[in-house]
Amino acid sequence: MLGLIIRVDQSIVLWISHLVGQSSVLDRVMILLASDYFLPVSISLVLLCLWFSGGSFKERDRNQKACVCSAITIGIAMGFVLVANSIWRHPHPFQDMPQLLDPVTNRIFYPIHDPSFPSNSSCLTFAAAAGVWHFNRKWGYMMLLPAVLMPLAKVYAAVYYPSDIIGGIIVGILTSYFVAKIFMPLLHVPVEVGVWFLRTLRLG
Amino acid sequence: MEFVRAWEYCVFVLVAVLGLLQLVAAVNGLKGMLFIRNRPVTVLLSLAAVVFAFWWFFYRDDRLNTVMRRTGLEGAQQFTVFCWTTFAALVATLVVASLLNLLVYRHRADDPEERREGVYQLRYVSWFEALREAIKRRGEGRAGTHHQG
Repeated sequence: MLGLIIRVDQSIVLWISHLVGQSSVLDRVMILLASDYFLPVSISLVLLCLWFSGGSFKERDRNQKACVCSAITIGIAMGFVLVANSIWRHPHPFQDMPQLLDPVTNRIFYPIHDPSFPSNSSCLTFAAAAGVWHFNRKWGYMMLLPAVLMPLAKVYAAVYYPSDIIGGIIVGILTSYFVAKIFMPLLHVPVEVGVWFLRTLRLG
Repeated sequence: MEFVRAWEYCVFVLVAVLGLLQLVAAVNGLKGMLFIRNRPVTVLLSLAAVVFAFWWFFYRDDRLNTVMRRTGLEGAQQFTVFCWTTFAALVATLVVASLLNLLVYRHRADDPEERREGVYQLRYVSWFEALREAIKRRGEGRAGTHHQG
């Protein structure tokens, strides 16, 4: 079963990596999307925007809880990824297929050293989107776009296998479910106190 | 070899967050956070600030083809710089807008009861005034955020 997944993964990466170098516009877009800075900062700015948005108290309260849920989800999910990475060191596509290193990976991104499974970028982006989704469906769906684009660009750069991406997505979504349904109701009082404190300072 | 430095990331985040806060304040009518009270001008300038920040960080000197394809700041370092810079930008926005309100605009909007709630009090008063009222109200033994309209 694992052998089949690896074969499917490698053939998908090989097929996608054939596109690298064929269009300079596509390559530049993928460099931007795969960048360590562009989508993480954009997602953070969207969360900041959501924090201050909402016409009524109820709407604003919901938006601010969405931001809190998203931030806690990102933190916990990245912890899970760190633990998984330390348990299992899965190689990257450019390590399994060194012929991709120069023409593909170095052209779009750079050869990263962290283990490949689960992908931390897909985990981060999906944790952010799913965390928001539990409280605000509209903004949650909107955040799916960057959540999909960053991992896609990483597969294009032969940095992650599709199964690494799926692993990261599952960790991100399950963590958001845990945070929204169990963690936040359980820690209702500290969350409310934190939000109350920010509202008293007129920051929330 | 050139790579992304912490100060560059800090400037990028600072300008982008300052622009975004002005944009959000203009869209949501939070006058107590605005530097310029003219809404269309603020929207235009804040959008320009956000676009400029992204252009400066990603595109100047063909950085997309050089530094963006190299390892730079670690995730934890990025997170720390982002949080502190965002906090600094938020405080700077509130302080500068309050000072402008105090020294330049000297305008106080209508005083409806609903303005007592959280950040939306900034629709009517500056941050300094909102804080002063919150402290005063607390001193009188009343909850500052009890009214949930």
